[in-house]
Amino acid sequence: MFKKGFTMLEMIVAIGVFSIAVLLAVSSFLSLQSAEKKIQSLVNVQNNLRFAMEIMAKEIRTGELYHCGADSGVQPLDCPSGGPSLTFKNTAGQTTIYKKINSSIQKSSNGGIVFQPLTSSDITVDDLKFYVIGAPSNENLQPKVLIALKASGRIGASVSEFNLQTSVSQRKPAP
Amino acid sequence: MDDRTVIRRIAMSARGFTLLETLVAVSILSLALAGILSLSAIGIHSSSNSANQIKAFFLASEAVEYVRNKRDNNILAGSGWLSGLSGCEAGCSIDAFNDTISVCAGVCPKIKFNSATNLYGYTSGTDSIFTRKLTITQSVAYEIKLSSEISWQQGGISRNFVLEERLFDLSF
Repeated sequence: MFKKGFTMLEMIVAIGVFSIAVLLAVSSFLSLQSAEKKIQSLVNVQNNLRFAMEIMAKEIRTGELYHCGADSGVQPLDCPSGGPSLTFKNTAGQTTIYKKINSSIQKSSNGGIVFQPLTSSDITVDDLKFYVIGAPSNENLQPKVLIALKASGRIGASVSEFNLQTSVSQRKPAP
Repeated sequence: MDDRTVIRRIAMSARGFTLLETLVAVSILSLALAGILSLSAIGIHSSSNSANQIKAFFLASEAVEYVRNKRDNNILAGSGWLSGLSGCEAGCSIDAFNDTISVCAGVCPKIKFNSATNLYGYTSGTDSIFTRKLTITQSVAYEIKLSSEISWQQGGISRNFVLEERLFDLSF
């Protein structure tokens, strides 16, 4: 008589309360996990784009003879309305090309014979455009390049988009 | 030992939790959970803040490069090295794509982002979170100090940073 045990009702109530608590805990940890994945893809895109932008800005700033357009010519050429590829001569005298190939930014240091990716395959570069003004020497302007970049990263169902823009002015005095 | 004492002893030993004990246990548990959750919230917040900082840095350096280019072009054209930059002592906004400088009346406008061209500017698109203000300070005739300040609001907190650069009159 003294050790009565639980009644059926008490058991049902206890299990019900417990399962609600467990449900809350599990769902909050699941949402934490998806947020963590989102952060991971965002950080990945950030790192890749910052690296690519930094490299391009530094090399273009110290380079000369910019040719902007769809082709990879070496004659200085402006593109005030934007071009997908930029060819120029870097400080080492190499004919350098930056362009988007198959959703990554790629660089060639030998005039387009070999291209190497600057961004990882985890991220998708959606758009890369160069806007060049003052490249031909007869314009009597200091060349200026505007770089616009858009990329997205995807881990699972979470997509992170990232837009960067900067301008660089040629350091070498115009001839 | 009579029956009554036995009953009392058993009743004493099979005592449940008091309300106070339960409250303490539940509050410790929820504090622990809240700690974990707030930690992850801080993580999410700071990752999106670092994204904004990277964008802001490149936008700030764009304004500095623009003025450097303007100075070089002025010298090439033989005009005054600061021509076209007057009024920027009080702060002005720079549209690098459209090649325009406008003096801010009080507060500079927000930079717009055009999602069709992926360009930051002032003529088309929707307002981004960033405000860019370029200030020129001239102490001597041959030197100016550029301050490119980017400010933005994030989660009710206003953030900003300033990129400083000094330019010289190369024709001096």
